[in-house]
Amino acid sequence: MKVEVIVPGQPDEDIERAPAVMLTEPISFWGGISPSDGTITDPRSRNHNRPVAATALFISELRGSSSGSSVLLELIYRGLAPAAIVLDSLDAILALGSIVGREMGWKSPPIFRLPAAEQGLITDGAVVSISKNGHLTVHPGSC
Amino acid sequence: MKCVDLDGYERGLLDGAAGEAAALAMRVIVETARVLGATSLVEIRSAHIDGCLYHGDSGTLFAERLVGLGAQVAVPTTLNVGALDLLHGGIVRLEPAARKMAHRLMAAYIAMGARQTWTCAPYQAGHRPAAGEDVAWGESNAVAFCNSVLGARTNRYGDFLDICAAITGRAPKSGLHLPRNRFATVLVDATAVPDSFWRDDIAFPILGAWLGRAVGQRIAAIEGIGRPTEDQLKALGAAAASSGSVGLFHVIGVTPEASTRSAAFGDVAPQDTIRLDLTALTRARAGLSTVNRSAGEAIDAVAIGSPHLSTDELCALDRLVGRRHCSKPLYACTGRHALAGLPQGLMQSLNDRGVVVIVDTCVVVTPVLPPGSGVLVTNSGKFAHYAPQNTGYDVVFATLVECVESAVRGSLYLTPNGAHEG
Repeated sequence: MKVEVIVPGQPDEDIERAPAVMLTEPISFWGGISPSDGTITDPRSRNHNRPVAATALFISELRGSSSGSSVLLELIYRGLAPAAIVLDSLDAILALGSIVGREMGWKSPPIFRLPAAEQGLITDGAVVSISKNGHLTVHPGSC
Repeated sequence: MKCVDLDGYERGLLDGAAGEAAALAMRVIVETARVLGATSLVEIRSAHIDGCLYHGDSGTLFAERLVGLGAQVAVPTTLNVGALDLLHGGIVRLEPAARKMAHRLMAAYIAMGARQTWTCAPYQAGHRPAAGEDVAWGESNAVAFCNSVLGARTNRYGDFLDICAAITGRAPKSGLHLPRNRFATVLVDATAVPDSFWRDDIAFPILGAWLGRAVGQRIAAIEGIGRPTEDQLKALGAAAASSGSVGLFHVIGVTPEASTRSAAFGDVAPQDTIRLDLTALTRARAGLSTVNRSAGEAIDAVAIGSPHLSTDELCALDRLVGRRHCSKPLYACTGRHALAGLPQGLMQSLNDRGVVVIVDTCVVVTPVLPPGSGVLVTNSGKFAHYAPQNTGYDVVFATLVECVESAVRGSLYLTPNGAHEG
């Protein structure tokens, strides 16, 4: 599968074998993910209490609080950020968290785009690799 | 992705002509422009910064990096709330390490030359861009007011982009900076709602809460709500921006880009028409409370002032409290600008009557409410939206009169015949 690169990671390298977390319900980073421990705090999410660190986090509908960039930057700073973030549509607010993380010299996740319908082909918990140019591979038998 | 065309000045900033801080800020602006698909930048005339609220140490380190590189804002810049009330120590219960970092964050933004307004209502603190002017504002209610009521042009800028725009004087030319993207697409026809409904202030946060859910990010033009005051439009925009992602709305015959219906829609027909009635508004009102409480039941606190109270709203509060004393804390969140407009001694007198006047911050962004949980009464659509998740309190949404009476009596007061009778 091909995903669009919105923001390259820091360092700009391939993401190897990360567990996919599929968020199929709308989520806002501010109020939805704890900046201090990196778990999903939105009580309406069926992924409530799940950590996002080192995952390939697929988000089918992002609710955009303008403080979302601060939450992602804090996750980056604490080493609790996802390995990669895959969004349904362009979002400058979340992208900013990663762009600023890179400016600060911190390890920052790449942000990719994949329409929600295609995200639906990936099973929650599957192991995925995403190359820095946007080639996504779902490893067989991984879930 | 497309390339971003830069002029000589912009390329100079990127190359370090105005120092390292401006170069960093320009890299962030250009990279964001690329993400947004903008092919050029727009010159902005002012900025309002939301990034001064503490969410964790990383924000402080970024602001201090900018200061260390010599950053100064290039345009008039106001500051949104921080996590501390700098005038009244003791009100905010942040633990010492976080308090220190929150304070360092606020100090960094002052060092970059921003005005110490510390308010989510900068438009009532003298920061009023002209209609048609391009600006870069953060804070969802401020963005909605700036676009809708002032007719100035901004997108909903996230933390970090706001300060980078202030330092460079540039923002990505996209979204609501482009006149073609500012027309309404949805007509909200409120003519079926009885006029008496709009007489009460609480009508406007209820309308806002409904609007955000009904239209999301689409631009609505509303017809048939009379001529709301500035404070009523402020409450409408704040509620709509928190329940949806509304960055711009029009009120036909009232707001600057909607002198007529066809002006609001750019001479094309609405893509969608929603006929609003009292049933939908009653449902929206019920949705603003998280618990069902009857008159006389216990409450724990009352909070008003999101967006920050204007001088007029503080005076109205003073009249309603009268010579009585609040038996439960009534938190009144406001800005230094509104206090400056009050008659001499009024703020002290409010405090003496049990009103806790809070400036520079507010009760849903930093720990102020008594620890634990409880029932909070508010007339603010924005407080009602954020208080449950940010404070752990349940919310009862009520009119200003009901808020004040509840604080004075120490138990929930509800207007006997309902808030909207004639």
